[in-house]
Amino acid sequence: MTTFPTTVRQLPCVNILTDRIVEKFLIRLNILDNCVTDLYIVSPVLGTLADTGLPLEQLRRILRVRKIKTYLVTQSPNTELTKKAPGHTLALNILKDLDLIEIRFNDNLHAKVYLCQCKKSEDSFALLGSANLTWTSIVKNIEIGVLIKCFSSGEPIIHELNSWFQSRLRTNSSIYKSMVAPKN
Amino acid sequence: MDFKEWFCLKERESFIIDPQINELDGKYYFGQANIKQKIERQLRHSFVSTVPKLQLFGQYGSGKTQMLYHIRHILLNNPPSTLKLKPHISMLTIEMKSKSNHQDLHLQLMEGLGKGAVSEWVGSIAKKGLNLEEELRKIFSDDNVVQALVKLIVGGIDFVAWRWLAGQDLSNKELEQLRVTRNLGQIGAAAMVDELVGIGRLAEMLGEKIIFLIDESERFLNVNTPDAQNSLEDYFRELSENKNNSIGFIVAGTARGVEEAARFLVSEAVLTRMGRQNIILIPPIPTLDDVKSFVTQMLSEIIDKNQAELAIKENSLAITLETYPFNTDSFDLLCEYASQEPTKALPRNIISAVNECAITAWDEKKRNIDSTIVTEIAPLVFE
Repeated sequence: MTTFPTTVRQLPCVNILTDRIVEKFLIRLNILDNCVTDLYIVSPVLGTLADTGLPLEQLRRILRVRKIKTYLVTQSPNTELTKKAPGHTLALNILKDLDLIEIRFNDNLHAKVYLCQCKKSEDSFALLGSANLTWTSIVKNIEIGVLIKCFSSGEPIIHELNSWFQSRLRTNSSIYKSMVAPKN
Repeated sequence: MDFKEWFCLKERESFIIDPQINELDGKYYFGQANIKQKIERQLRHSFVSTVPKLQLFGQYGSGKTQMLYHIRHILLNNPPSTLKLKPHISMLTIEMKSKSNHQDLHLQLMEGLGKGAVSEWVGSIAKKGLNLEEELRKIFSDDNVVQALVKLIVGGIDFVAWRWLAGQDLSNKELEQLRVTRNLGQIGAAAMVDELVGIGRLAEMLGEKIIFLIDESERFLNVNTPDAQNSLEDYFRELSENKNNSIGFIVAGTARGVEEAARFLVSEAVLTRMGRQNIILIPPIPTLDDVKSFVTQMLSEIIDKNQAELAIKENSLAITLETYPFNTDSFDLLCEYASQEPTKALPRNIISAVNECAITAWDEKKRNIDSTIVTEIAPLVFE
């Protein structure tokens, strides 16, 4: 087991994850039944997450049924990186039919951030690390991430991440699919 | 050209107003002039004989946090004439769990004040060449508090002293070291409040007035054990007493009325001491005209008028400076959407709708926000 300095491990609002980290984030999201309002995914490459704890098809159902507003920023399907990832276009196709999703492309994107906003702000959480939203990053790669919970000193971090996403990343990424009001 | 330039924004990256990210945003409080005036009046009156003891309630997105930052801005930059001392403001977002009690609240208030500030106040008395213990005894009736404060400026034991003052339980050995007879919270909330009020008096002697601005008071609802709830009620009741005229506190939390707040925050005992006029409800923005006034004020503050005038001229935009980057129709449409459902006419929603409309216009490379964009975005925010 990897050990980290006591100071980091003892911070109640922070967990360092080293194993199946994106999967853990998604499962946490799934557990928070009806609490989640907004989901931000920043991942240069996407995959269908087949054979993981929460395949993308299942995630899409959760997002649709719970009416979670989802904001995705990723690379376009024709970059050097995404051309090598066959799941990228498949994943975009799975997600783009959702009404409440906004998809943006930014080919300079390297950051990986996942943020889940909840009705009660203290339930919100974010994952900041090296992992893409892909099967490889969950099952094969050595990845590391910090799960930040929205209380104590975690609260301003999540707030800052939210602001970075809203004010910087979105306006610097080109729109691929806009959010539309769901048809009743 | 980036988003900021595209829409002639003044000192900001987006239309979002968020004092938690940009402290200067605390100067804004758009619309709701009656609420603003009421709070300013209560602040002014409160400093005449005591300190502000206010509770603000409103639904999610009604602007409570913005109001707390705005109060901070007022107190620091344009304080009421009745406030004669320098405000020492401590802002904190409260954390409460199911078993949190008066000790957890006291700890957070003390940590909000900070060891550094309290040590400095104690140190300033010592530096005056006065007998520190004697001076402290004039303020604090509990000799244990005096002992702990004295040790707060003694290297090696200062952290133990601070932990005691913050209400944490110490071992017998540590208590002996400090020369105190018991832990602070052991006999209830009153001793803790007495200590805090005494620290307030100490600050006053040095020209400062302590005011806590406490956000997210709905988290007190997490406390579900009767003993813990009772101890928190004791703490608030003591803090609300007239005898406390040195520690101001303004608490804000999500609730549509007092009936939705934690019962110990609004118990009869607390309310009668605080005064019911100090419980202020921030309602949604009531009418179409109020929404219009909110958006107009917002745009007027965050748009660089000179740049906007130039952009209107250069791009031959059929819009007025007052509603830029909206045209008259899209401005009216947005305000109508916002005021259709009274409970949704909230500052957070309105600001978010303006920002989302602008991002859509930016995506479509439009220099202005037209009605098509508003029709697309407004239902996502207001329906």
